[in-house]
Amino acid sequence: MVKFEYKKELDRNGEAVYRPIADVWFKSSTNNWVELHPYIDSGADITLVPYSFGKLLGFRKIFAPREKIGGIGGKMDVICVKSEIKIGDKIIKATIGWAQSENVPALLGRSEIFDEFEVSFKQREKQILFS
Amino acid sequence: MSKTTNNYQNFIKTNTSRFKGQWIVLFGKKIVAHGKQADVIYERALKKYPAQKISLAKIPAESTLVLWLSLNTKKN
Repeated sequence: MVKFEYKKELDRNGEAVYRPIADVWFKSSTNNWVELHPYIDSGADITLVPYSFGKLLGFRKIFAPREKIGGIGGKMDVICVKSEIKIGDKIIKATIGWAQSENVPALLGRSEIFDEFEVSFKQREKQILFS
Repeated sequence: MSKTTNNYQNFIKTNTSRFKGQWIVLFGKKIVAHGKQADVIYERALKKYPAQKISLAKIPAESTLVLWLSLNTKKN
C-alpha cells in the first residue's frame, strides 16, 4: 500500500484548495527512472504528461499516431505511448498520453493504474490510499 | 506500506505558488531549478545532483484543473 497526500494550493481568489498528488517514477528510453509528482485525476481516462516531460523521457513522435483527447477547455493532440511507471514497489506498463502542448497539468489517470490498485480518496483526512 | 520520497513529502508541504505555470526540480527541501521546459531544467539540475535524488513537478497556471479527459480513438 502507498499513502499519498493532498497539497494545499491557492485558487485565484487566494483561498485554499487541496489537491491529491501522487509520487510516480517514469522509465525513460535510456532506462533511467524520473520522479514526478502528478495530480491524481480519477476523471482522466489516461495518464497525461506535458510535451517537455515526454521529451525528457525520450518519447519520439514516430511512436504512434496522434489522437485527440477532450477535456474541460477543449480538445488537444496527444500521442499515446506504452511505457513503464512505478508506484510504490509496483511497476506497471501504462498508457501515457504525451500531450503535444505544454499547457496541461501532469495527471495520473485511471487506465491500467486503477486496474492495478484499489484507490481510496479520503479527502477529509487529506489522504489517498493505493492498495 | 511503501514510503514516499523526501522530495514528495517536501513538495506537499512547500508553497509553490510563485512558480505558477512553471516546472520545478526538487532536491530535498530545496527547489534547485525552475522554468518552462521540464527537459531543460532537469538536465540542468543533473549537472549538480544525482538523478535518484531529484524530482519534477509542474505547478498549474490556472486555478481550475482539467477534471476529466476522454480519449477519442478517432485518428486525425
